[in-house]
Amino acid sequence: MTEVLKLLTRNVGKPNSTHVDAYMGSGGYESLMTVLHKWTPEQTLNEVKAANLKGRGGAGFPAGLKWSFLPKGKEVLKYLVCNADESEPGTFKDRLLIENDPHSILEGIIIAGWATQAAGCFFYIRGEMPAGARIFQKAVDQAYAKGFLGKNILGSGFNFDVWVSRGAGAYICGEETALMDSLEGKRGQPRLKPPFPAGYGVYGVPTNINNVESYANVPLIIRNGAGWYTAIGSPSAPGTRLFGISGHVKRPGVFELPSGVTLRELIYEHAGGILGDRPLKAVIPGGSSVPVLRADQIDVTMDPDGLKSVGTMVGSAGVIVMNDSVCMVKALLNLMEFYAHESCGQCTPCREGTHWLELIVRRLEEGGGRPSDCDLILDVAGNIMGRTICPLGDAAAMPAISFVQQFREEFEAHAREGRCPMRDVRMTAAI
Amino acid sequence: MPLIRIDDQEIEAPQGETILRVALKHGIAIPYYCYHPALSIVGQCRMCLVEVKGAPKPLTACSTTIGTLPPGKKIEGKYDMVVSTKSETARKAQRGVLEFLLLNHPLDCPICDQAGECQLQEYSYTFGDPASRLEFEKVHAPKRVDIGPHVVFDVERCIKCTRCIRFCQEISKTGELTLSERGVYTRVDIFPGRELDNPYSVCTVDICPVGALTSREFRFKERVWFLKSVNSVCQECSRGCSVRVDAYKGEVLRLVPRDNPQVNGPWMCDYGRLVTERMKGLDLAGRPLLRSGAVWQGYEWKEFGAALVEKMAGFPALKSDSWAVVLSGRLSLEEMAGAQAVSQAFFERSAGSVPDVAWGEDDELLIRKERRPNLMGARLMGIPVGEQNAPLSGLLTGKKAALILREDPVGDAQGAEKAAVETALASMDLVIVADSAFTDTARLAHVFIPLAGWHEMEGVTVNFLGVAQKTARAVVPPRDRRPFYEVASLWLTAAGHEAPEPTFPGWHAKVKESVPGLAGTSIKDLLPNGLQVLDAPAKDKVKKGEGA
Amino acid sequence: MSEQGVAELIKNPGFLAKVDRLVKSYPRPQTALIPILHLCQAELRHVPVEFQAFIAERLGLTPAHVRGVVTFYEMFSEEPHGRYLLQVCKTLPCMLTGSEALLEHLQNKLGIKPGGTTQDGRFSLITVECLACCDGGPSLMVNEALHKRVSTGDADRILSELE
Repeated sequence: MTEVLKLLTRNVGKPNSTHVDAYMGSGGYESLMTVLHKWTPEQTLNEVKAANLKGRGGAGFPAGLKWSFLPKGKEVLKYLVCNADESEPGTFKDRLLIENDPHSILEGIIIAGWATQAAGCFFYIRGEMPAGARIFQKAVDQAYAKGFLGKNILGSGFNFDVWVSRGAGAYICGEETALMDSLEGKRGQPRLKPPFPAGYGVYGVPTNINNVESYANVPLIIRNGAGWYTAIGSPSAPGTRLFGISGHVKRPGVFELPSGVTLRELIYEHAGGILGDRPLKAVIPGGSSVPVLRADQIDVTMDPDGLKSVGTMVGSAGVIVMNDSVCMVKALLNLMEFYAHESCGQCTPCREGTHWLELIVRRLEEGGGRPSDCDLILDVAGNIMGRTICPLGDAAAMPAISFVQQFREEFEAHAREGRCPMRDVRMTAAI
Repeated sequence: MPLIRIDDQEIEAPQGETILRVALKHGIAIPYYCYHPALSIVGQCRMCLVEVKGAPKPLTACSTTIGTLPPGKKIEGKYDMVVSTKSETARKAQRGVLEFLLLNHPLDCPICDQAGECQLQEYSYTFGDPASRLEFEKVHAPKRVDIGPHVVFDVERCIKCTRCIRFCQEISKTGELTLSERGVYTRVDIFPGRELDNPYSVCTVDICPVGALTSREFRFKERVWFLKSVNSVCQECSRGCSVRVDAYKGEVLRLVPRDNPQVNGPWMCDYGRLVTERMKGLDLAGRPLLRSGAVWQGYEWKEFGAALVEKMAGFPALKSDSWAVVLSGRLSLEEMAGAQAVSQAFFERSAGSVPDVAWGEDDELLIRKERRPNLMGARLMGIPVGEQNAPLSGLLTGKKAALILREDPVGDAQGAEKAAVETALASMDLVIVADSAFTDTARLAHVFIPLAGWHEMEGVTVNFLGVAQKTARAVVPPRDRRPFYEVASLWLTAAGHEAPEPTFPGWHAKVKESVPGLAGTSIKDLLPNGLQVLDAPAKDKVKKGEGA
Repeated sequence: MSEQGVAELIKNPGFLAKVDRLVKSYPRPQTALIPILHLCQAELRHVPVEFQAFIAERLGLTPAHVRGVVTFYEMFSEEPHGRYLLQVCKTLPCMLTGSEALLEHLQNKLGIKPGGTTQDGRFSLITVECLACCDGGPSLMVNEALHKRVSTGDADRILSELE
């Protein structure tokens, strides 16, 4: 069994882990001191680039490269954003870091600020995480008190602020430009791109945005070097990942593992196997938006290459496990309700299409389905896919398409029998 | 300049220009709803998806800009971009979006005012799939919301293109509208208790691509395909917005702005548009009238010239300086020329003067406080323009006779000024009033000449920027009312003077002699967007005229 | 009650000081809108249109803009909810682990449907989308307190501990 690593989660579970003194007691903020006193911004950026740190929000874009898109020099006003709007179903890793080790995120943010010479960072956290917002705000206050934030940080001449801002209940605000509109006090509607945030971000100011977990990796990279970092995990996605496993497993939770671990190991070893000791039926490996896998497709590594080989993606590394008590039509209906509810409504294919998909899948599940409904789902989802302003359209279409493709017989049985064939099966519960 | 290909047309297109604009400019039809040339680009409706070679998915033509490829990377060795608007990929994308738009649209076309000029209908006809797959209950929403004094909102018909919202944010800058809620329940909305009430509110109706926003004044009046339309010019202020006048059976039912970059862009104000309402209930005298004592006697036009000349002969004591001649900035250039000729012939003077009637304030968009459309025309014709809002009683008091054209000094005045005008007119020997309605001033006249309204005649007006535009006859005057230039011909001829043909071209030729900017132009040059006639020397002349 | 509540709130010096502090705490005032709406929602358990108009003027926004924002975000409501807002996560991982039974239990216990409020105004019941604690499903949030792995028995206990 692959050993669980304690890098990002090194402080989780320690007493007082959210306090700056505890964090500093185990070497916290030393990386920040290193870069402020010994490294130029350029060196700092290059180290992160060399580490090939892949974004942990879902898209997997190299963070260092992203930073380098910002205009150079401290004369140019620039902002950072930390995307703490964790809301992709099946994903709960950022919550763990925010609530247990806020300073590791904050240190990463400040180092990124130094590397990019930004003026400050907006920490945009889900409205539904009030405790996390309070914990992070406290960490920010402590960092100001210690001189890690504010003017002339640690005598370096570098000024940097962090502003904590809460969302208010909108999945779409996890999309980077919707998040920026939300930060501007607007409806969270994704922007047309281009222009991209690196040129036109919050308030129109060049902005870089990364996920919580991405920033939390930065102090480790600085402390141990890019060479150390790239030796962990698979070459295409170095470092560890915080895999969240939920649904029908015996030990749901967040597991920090090198990215090359297999999906089977994750489910059967780390998460303790299937709840109810029933056969595995389906796995969504990277948050609800990525294509679903059948039980016979789990012998793959949890990295981009491995998952690509079975037609899916790492996404946010949130693994949702379903045993054979689950009706796949019902599971898809749940997801379609989610996307229809979370569609911002500005662009036609997503606004109308997610609603339509929900109606079709509900009709099937409730027994009114038609033999042609599978093809209708595929066609409607196909008309959403790639036609929308932001990725939410694709995020809704991919599960719809993959559920039908992977479990077509079950969908057709619903139409054929005029009812849910599994309606008498009691779904395994965790409690 | 980048070389691109759209379908089979090779086009040199400016760097940074959008595919949609280039396509429209070259007559290539791409369907769209949310795009509007005067509003920001939002790419929300997704109707204009096209296939761009090398792009992994269809792109919105409205927001995709044209760039330059390095020499080695040109497509087919020469193109910077290759776009297909009608390929299977493009058509499938467009059909898909259209189907989505119709999913929750009520399809109540038979009772919809927009029917016939609806882009949803139009594209459904062109791109739609005849077989419907929309077998679910639609999301329902209110059908008749009075969101403003002049605008009615059918929420179900709305396709959320947000043009109206952007209009209120970017053009009227009043911000009354927003999207509310989200997902399929997203709707255009107004703040509770507030109204869509700004000086340009009906423009939202113009730009609504479907029947969601309708004009309270126009809705249910007439099917648009029965309307008879002419291009004309709004006469309600010195802006002179280019308009289309839509009429049916002799009644003007609506004014719609015509996009004219040098005058009004695609907009016009509600006040100008709602002249349709003010036209109602006007007392339209049908034929020329002469009064003796309290008795008005009507004449046929063919007898009227002689009768008028005879009437004037009854006052041999009236000299040139006995006359007050009040012209109007509502007269067309040709009518002004007629008035000049009449003045010359009968009062031995070049012309009277034109009052500058103003109220309100100029705004940042279109509205001008100068309420007469042709003040600049008067200046160009050498007719003095009075000081702004100078009381007309000053002009009339002490005179023994008056000729008043298209002004109503009694009806427009109040209090002491009104009394002074009434007294002045009542003490005169001869008052001749010519107007399109039988006004309060007309009641005090001895001679009333019924003039055609601006919407019933051809005439040229020059706006404050010096743009000359032509009105057109949208309806035949329901009674025999005539432009003043026709009357002038009649009047002059009856007295044995020479006069041009009693027609618009006849008098327009005369105008061209006075206005240098029109020299060598033809009437066609004034269409559709007008002609800048304020060349440098004319501008000087106007300035001097103002000083005098 | 709500009109009175909002009228008092927008005159309350302590509240206004909080508003001003928020306005000043971000690089631009507009960023304070959502935090301020949170304050109002916490105080009044809804964001009435009167407050929307008030804050629009205060921040130099149009009332329509503020309304667009309030109706966009799930955590703001234009109608007041009960003293305790019971939020049952209904998204897939929680559904897989038992949220339907939890929701049904709460409905039966309180005699209200999702979206409803008990007659005494104590409890409002709503379903919410993923709360990012999928390993703790089924999860229930009561106002700001998150409860994980909530069995029907746990739900009874949680409710009984509330005033």
